[in-house]
Amino acid sequence: MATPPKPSELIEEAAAWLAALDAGSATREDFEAWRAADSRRAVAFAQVVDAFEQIEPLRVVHEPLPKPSRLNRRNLLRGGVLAGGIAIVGGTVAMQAAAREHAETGVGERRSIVLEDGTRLLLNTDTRLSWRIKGTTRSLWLERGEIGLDVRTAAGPALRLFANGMHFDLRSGSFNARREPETVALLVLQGTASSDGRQVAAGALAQVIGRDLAVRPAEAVAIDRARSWKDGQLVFEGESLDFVAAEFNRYLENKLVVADPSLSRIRLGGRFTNTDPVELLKALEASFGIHAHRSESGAIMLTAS
Amino acid sequence: MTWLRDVDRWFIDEVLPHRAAFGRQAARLVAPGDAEDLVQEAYARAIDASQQREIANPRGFVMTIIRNLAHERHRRAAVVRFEHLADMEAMDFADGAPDQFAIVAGQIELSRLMELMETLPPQARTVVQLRRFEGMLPRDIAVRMGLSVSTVEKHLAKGLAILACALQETPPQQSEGPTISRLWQRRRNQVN
Repeated sequence: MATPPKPSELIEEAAAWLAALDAGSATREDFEAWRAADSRRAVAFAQVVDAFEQIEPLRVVHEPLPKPSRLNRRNLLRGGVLAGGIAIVGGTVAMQAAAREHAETGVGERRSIVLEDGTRLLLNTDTRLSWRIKGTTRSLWLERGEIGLDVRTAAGPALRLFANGMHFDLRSGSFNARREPETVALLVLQGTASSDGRQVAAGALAQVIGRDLAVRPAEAVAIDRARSWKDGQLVFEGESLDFVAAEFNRYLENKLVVADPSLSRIRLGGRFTNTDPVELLKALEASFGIHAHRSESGAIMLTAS
Repeated sequence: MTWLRDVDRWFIDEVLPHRAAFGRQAARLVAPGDAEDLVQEAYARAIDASQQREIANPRGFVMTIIRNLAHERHRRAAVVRFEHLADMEAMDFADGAPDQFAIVAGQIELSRLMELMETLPPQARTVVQLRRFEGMLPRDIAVRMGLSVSTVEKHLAKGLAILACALQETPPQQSEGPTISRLWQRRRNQVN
């Protein structure tokens, strides 16, 4: 049995149908036949129509887009339709091509970006990255933090991800990259990556420490974590309280401080909302008698009561 | 839109407004990577069922399908994270009548829509804006942007696909019903 298409693939397919119907390049019969074959397709198509309808309220804040000048347009027509398409946005794109573009998130923020080549990026808390797309060459620098990448490659070179002086070449697939001061870790969720001729297959974790690259199978919890932060969740499976506090602190302005060294080796597990430690604090109080209080600086001090 | 059957219209008007509640329901029942797929499968079953008979309470109906599908998947799975099982009972009081919150949540905030539009690639965004807000036809957009009609078609498809995918994601903030965090802990340091 073939694997069923993912929801996002069905939505892309449905959007292509809607746009084709709208442009008059598809027939009603062909469309009906496609839709009738699987209720999942009807669902995806309805979701695309819904998206089209949902953005209606934006009309009130929409400012009419400036029309290209007459001169421009004549030039475009003379230059041929395809070349014109590039030329019309050429002014901005050409200028940006040489420079890198940047995006960042503050502590506790999450942000998604779609690059011109269709690569989807999700930036986790306190993250900064830059990228440059020039022709078929795509480079991305992870300067700080953690990102999820959904890379699409038809032909041409792979997307090159730089971090800590190392680089990874990413083919089509889904990846998670996390940079820390001393190391960078790339988890391949789907697809393959390579670094200086070494392959990193799906389900593997490549970790760069200094100049060395270590590749090993990722633990299930690492894969769970890479998926869960996208929903704003932290996952623990028996890690020390020190580790738990450090992970939480990436998302918190007011940091957790394990003020009592005797507590740091307590181990715990569970799933928490990453921007709000209240539930963790309640659980620590209830099950370990750990007391939390706020210091003058705003930090949350954990002590054995 | 003239390409919708009654059942599709029903689905958009009666089912999709509760998408946030469905997404949270699914996220509590299965692992994060499986939640979206679970909801889509439930949607497909709902469309099938509504063609057979009248659905009195679409929200409750889909909530029930999601729970039943999750039960089914758990029974097939070799290992179940206990948080998910523990929550199966908690679900029963979370899927009652539609509350005011759910109805309001069906309409997406203007600020979120604006953010979503910002995530589109520039060309796709322009095409969506011209088509939706200025009511221009694809062939007129093609002339104005100096593109071929088929390129306009591709940009429109891409833009709508990104928007539709993003709208299916559950907004992170508000929570409804019990949370899934269950602590299991050991004082391993005492053993050592």
